[in-house]
Amino acid sequence: MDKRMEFDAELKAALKLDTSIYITSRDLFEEAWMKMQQTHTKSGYKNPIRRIILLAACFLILSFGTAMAVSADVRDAAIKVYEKIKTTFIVEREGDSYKIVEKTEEDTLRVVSFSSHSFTPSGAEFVKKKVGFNFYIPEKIGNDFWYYNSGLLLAVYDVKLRDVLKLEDKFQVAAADDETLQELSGFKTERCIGVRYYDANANYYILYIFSAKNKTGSDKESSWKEINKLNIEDIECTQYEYPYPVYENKILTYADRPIRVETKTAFVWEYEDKVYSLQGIRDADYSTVEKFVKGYIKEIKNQN
Amino acid sequence: MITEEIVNRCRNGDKEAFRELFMSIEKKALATAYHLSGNRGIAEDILQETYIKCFTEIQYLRNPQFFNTWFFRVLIRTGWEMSKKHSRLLATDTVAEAENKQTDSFLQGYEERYLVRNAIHNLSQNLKTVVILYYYNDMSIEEISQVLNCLKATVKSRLFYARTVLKKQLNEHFRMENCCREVSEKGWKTNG
Repeated sequence: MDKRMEFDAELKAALKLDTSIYITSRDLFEEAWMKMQQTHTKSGYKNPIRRIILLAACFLILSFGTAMAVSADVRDAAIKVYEKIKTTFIVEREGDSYKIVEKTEEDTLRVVSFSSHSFTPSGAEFVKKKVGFNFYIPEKIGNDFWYYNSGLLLAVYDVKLRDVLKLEDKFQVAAADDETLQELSGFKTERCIGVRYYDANANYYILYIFSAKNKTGSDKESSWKEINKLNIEDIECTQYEYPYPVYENKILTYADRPIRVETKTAFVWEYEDKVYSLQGIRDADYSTVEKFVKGYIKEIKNQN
Repeated sequence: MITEEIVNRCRNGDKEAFRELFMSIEKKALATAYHLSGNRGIAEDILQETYIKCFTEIQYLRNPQFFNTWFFRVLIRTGWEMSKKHSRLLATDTVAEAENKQTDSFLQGYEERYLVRNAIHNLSQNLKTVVILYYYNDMSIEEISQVLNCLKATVKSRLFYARTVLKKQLNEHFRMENCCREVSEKGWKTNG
């Protein structure tokens, strides 16, 4: 062995480590995952994965099957723990007004949405297989709206709060994992996607896309109210009013109760075996939302 | 083996896919972080921080085949940042290996390794990184240039310079050690 090789061998030997170094004092992966989720929640919806969860939490999802709108109850609300009894607050319609109702573990919720899977338009192929339909996510809609992020969601219909609490992690995994979804075959589930866009005034819009062929949905009455029917680009759009719970804290926690209920507008239309449900995240005037719908429909038609 | 499918699942935020992906490199990554920081606790923090960055930045990994290069690039940068932050507080950690050593011959071998490792640890950040990636991670010059985002020639010259510095340091040490031993032996003989 020449001197150079000898020296190299010496350096290599010096860097060899005892196997004990590989035993970590904690579960680094689990901790990292938890920190990532916490950090991104605290920092104002920075993480696309969490963002979608929270957005889905705040808004209502449309059940296309019966063209009835249903609410993402649990995420609309907060779960409170009093001693060992868990309750949640949901918003229900009562005539022309809305009320906050406390539900127990034994109560059935219309729909709960779960997501832990964000994707970019370029990574949409994987998601198309999961939802079982093709979709198109334009990067830009006209000159007014820009793509922000997107996620794969799992809607679970008519589910008891107890099951939600017990199986929350499983439902999240099932959003993208077929095997786990199969394990949950006792529940009425459906995959859909949520895409977020923003405008120049920093208003955010979330567009949910479902398969129109899938007839899964809730049997319970919706809290959505039909307002109007419009014809946009030869497609019939239904305008809904839906309740929007407002919380004291910007970041939702399971311990909060909504402090009041506001109303928001949603547009729903069906096109090529898909149901689209657009919901304005923040206050946006009616004409802007209409512009979005027109622009989006135009984009889809152009893409074809 | 890192497949496109698993990276795609990661891009879609699949936690289990990340776990699978990281499992294949965790040991190597932890050891690299340990060599960079010289401290076991900091090494764990570096790895954890790297994971967190990877969760969100995997969207930017264009080619899944380059996952290892990309991962170690994130790890090295995180390692540099965190080691710098802690450099005033901690000296090189030797506890991890010294605990269970008992025999004299082992101690002698251990001492030599410690001296070499300490010399590596005292190199500048750039030289140390190249040495670790080359001698510990068994990366080629080309792979190191990709991880560090620099020219192959730069890697070669850093490696050459690092060897020169290390040889000089270690030669000086052994020369000094031999002198001490000689004096000590003479002293013992005189006293005896």
